[in-house]
Amino acid sequence: MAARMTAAYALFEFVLATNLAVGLVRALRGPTLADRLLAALLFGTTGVALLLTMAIAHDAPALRNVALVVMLLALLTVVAFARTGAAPKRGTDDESA
Amino acid sequence: MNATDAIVATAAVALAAAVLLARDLRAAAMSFVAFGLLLALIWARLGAADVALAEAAIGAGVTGALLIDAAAQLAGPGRRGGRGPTALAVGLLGGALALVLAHGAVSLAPSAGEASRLVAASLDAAQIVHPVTAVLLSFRAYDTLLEVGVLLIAVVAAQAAPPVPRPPLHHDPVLARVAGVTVPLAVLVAVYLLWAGATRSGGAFQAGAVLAGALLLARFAALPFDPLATRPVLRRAMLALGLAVFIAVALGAGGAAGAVLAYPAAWTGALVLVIEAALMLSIAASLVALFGVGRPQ
Amino acid sequence: MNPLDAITWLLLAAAGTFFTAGTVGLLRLPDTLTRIHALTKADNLGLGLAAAALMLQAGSWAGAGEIALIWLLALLASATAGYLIAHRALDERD
Repeated sequence: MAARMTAAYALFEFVLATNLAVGLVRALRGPTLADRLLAALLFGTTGVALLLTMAIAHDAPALRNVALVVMLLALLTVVAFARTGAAPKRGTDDESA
Repeated sequence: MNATDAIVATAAVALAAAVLLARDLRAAAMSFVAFGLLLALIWARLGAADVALAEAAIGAGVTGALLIDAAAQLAGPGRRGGRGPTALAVGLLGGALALVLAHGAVSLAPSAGEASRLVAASLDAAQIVHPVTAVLLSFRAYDTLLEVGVLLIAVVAAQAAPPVPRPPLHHDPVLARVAGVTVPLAVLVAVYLLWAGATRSGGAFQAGAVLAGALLLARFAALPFDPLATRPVLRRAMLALGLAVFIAVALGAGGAAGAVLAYPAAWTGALVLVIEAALMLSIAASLVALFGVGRPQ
Repeated sequence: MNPLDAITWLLLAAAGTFFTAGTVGLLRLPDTLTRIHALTKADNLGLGLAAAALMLQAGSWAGAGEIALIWLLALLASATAGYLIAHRALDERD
C-alpha cells in the first residue's frame, strides 16, 4: 500500500484518538447522566471509525467484526442506561415534547 | 508505539481512575463501559482480534450492562463505596500488586513468538484452521471444559440470590420497533461469529456474548420475547447444555479416538462446531441469568 | 497518486473535520439537548464519510459490504440513542 495512504490512515487514527480523549472530559464531568450517555455514544461511534480504519490500515479484516459488535453493544449500553432507573414522568407519546 | 497508541493508553488509565473515583455508581458504570471499549481498541492495536472481540462483547457490552443495571438497583446519586481506612488499605494492596505485575511484565525476556510457532506447526495435526480455536478446543480443551464448569457453578450461585423486584418497563414504540430490527440482526451476527470461529476470529464466547446482548436488548426494550424468563425449563436446559455436550463429546468422541477430549481425525471440524454451538447457547443463557431471573410481571 | 487514493484522502480529511466538530459541540454547547444534535449528526456524517473512504480501499465486495452494513447500523443505533437520551434529559430537567 502506498506510503501516502499509510500516512492518511495514521493521521486519521490520531484525529479519532484525540477525539476520544477529549470526549472523556464530557464523560467525566457530566453533569447529568444524559451527558455521560452522550459520551458513551461518542466512544461507540469514534471507536467504530477507529476500528474500521485499523482494519484497512493494518490489513486485519477481523477488526470489522469487532466494529460490528461494538456498534450492537453500544446500542445495548445506551438502552440499558436509559431504561433502568425511574420510569419517565412524561408519557412517551407526549405531543408537547 | 506511536502517538495514537499513547493517547489510547493514557485515556484507558484515566478511565480506570475514573471508575474507581467516580462520584456515583452510575457514572462509574459508564466509565467502566468506556474503559472496556478502550481496552478492546488496545487489543485491536496489538493485533489480537479474537480478544478484542471478546472484550467488546463481554467486557464493554454485557458486563457493562450488568453493572449499569446493578448501579440502578443500588440507586441514588452520591451513593458510593467507603473512603475510610479499609479503602486505603485495599488501594495500597492493589497498587503493590500492580507494581509487582508491572515489574514482572517488564523483566520478561521477549519470547520471540515461540508459542505461536509451536501452535502453527501443530495446526495440521489438530485439523483446525484458526489457531485460537485450535488452542481453545484442541490443545487446551481441558481448560475450556473446566472454565465452562466454573461458569455454570457461578451462575447457579448467582441464581440462589433472592430475585430483585423490578418495576415493569413501560412500552416505548420507537425502541420496540428498533429492537424488532436489531435483535434478529444481533442473533444473526452471533451465529455468524460462531460459524466464523472455525476459520477466523470468532468462536463460542464471543458469539454467546452477542446472543446474550440480543436477549438483553429484547428484555430492556420490553419486547414480548423473553424465552429465558418465561420458560424456566428452557433456561435450565440452556445453562447445562454447554457443559453436557462438551463432556459427552469428550468421552464419546474421545472413546472413539483413544483418549478423552481427542477428536477422531475426520470429525474434528463437525465436533468442534457442535461443542461451540452448545457453548454459545450456554454462555448466552449464563450471562442473561446473571441479570436476575426476571420473573414475568 | 491515483485518483482513488486522492478521493480517499479527501473523504478522510472531511470525516476528521466532522468528527472534531461533533466533539467540540459535545464540549462547548450549553445543554444536553443541543449536545445531542451535535453528536448524532456530526459524528454520523463523519462516520459515513470515513466509511465511504474505507469502502473504496476495502479491496473486496464483501469487505465493502460489511463496512456499509456497520455504517447503517451506526445510523440506526445513533438515532435511537439520541431519542432515548433526549427523553432522559427531559426527565432529568423536570
